[in-house]
Amino acid sequence: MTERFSNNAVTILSAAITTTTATSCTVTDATSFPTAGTFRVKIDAEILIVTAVSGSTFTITRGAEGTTAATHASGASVIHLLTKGGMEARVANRFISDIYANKPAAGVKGRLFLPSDGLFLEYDDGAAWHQYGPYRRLKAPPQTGWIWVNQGDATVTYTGSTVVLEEPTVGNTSPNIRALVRPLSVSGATTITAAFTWNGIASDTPCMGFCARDVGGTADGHFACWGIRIQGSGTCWWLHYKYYSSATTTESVPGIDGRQFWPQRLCWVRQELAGVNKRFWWSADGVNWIKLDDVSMTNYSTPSQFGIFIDPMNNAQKVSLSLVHWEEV
Amino acid sequence: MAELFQNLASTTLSGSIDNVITSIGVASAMGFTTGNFRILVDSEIMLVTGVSGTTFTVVRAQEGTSVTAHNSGATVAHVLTAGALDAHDQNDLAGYDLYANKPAAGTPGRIFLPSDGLFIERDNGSTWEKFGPIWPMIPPQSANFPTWVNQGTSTCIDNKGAVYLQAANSSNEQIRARLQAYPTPPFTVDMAFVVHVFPYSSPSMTAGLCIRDSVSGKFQCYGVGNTDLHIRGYNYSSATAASGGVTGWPGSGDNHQLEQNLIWVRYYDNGSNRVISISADGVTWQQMVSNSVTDYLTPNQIGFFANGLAGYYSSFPVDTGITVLHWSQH
Repeated sequence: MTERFSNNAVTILSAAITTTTATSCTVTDATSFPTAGTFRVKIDAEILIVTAVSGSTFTITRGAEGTTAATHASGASVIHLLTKGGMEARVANRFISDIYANKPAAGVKGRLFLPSDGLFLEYDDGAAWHQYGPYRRLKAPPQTGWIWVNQGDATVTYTGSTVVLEEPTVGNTSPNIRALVRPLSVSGATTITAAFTWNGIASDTPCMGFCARDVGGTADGHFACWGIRIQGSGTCWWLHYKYYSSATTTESVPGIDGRQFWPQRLCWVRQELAGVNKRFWWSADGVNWIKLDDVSMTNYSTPSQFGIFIDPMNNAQKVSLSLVHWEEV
Repeated sequence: MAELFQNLASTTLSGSIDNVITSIGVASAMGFTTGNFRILVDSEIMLVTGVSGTTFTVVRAQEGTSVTAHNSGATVAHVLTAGALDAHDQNDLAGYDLYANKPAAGTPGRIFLPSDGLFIERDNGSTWEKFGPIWPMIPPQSANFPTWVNQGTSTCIDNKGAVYLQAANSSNEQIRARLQAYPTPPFTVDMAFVVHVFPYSSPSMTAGLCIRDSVSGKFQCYGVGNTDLHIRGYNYSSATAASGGVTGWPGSGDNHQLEQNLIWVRYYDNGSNRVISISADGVTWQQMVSNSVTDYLTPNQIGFFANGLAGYYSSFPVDTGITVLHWSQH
């Protein structure tokens, strides 16, 4: 709730506060106090947060900002104060982040709203919200807990906000998935959402992307990979769905193993573990999703580790992927 | 003007003032600031908007206080008031104005949001640091495009403030559009969108902006198309039948491949011509064509579309989506 202030707001208790847990009090005159939002008052040595005003009755939160709740006599001064906590609350309410559905109505000029799930940063001019976009909150991928599979001479850099996977050697001629995978970090998670971009990309199938790996499941060591590459001539982009029976052995996927796709600044991918089925989704904006497949959980392999890979096969240049978002829900 | 604060600034009136005057003399202006600030004289709060020597230009009786006369020698104290805090927070933390009106840097921590693009900026105390690209956008609402054409099982939703249309896949050309009534010319529409597509088949158009004549059922479409994802302008004799590139469009309907996440199309009807332009940044526009307003069709509807054919492959059919982030008619 918005932290409010008013000038010269002073009154006295019209009745004693007889317990340290009372959640309301009455004053002789509330006219100079704010009438909405929250504000702070001091009674004797106690700071109280007033959360609602009804006539001359304040709804109060006791013992705020490290002060001790105490009883107060009728006639004690009730002084509206600008406090450290009040200033902090005021700042916290100025630039707000929440899910889009909880965006407050416009009406407080100068506020910013940063949706945790949305497309736009918004500015409140006091009458309406103004949108700036496209914008997407990113959740930095974990910086620990990744497991290498077939690292070779590939490297990983944890920048704090991204994970950068890189294969420095040019001219590889056989498939070699360099994968960084992890078991689910969030117990019971059913969706893994990732976004990545490329610093260097090659032409073989696929070059880099998201992978799901079977460890001790129905097909131990198998990978299912969703990845991207550029076409050999470099004139268009492809997305590939590819199976690997090991990090160095590809298998074709019935039905689909390659499609052109619209190159995105960020590639958004989502693996959904939906009980007996697993689904793969992709998005151009990280908000609206298109389902690409929906198959049995044990189809080809039963994934228990998830992550990112690069395959430097046929790379004429260094191949590098930056993972910028990783979220398990 | 920015609300400013100064510690321990206090003086006295150098002469008595009545309850009307807006220019007051003080014994000394030393210690006071020069921007907007508040003073308390007796019980009246005043807003000082200018300082010249020992004269303050004031707005009287602020923040619910009463205007009164004051005696020479009355204390003039600079005070931090609720109104000053509000003014500071509302105006001075996050600024919102035309880029051309951006204030000079010098107040660290401020943010500036230009109403006409292309960066959010932060004042580091000596220069504005830019963060971008980010665009001021006017997201459309699905209700403003009430008419479906060829919906099938397609969906159109308002999601997180923008409109998302997902075209049901099909083995044939299927322009699936949401439309509104064609505005009265002259007008311009700027549209920005992203496309969610795995092109497998070869639709003439994949997604973008369209105009339509509801009498003949003809469409004219501008956006991206073909397996190679070209910027295109294409005519459709109906929602399910492409009939060639727009007259005069570079490359008989194709232009360049635009490897952008965000695609901008500008449609301008000046009453005699339709002028279609494309942009990669929403600021610099490249004109594609300027045709008569009766070229191919006489529109009475305008909107956006995606083509159900774009993502179709017999054993792996995928829908095609378009997120419309910006629709500005001006």
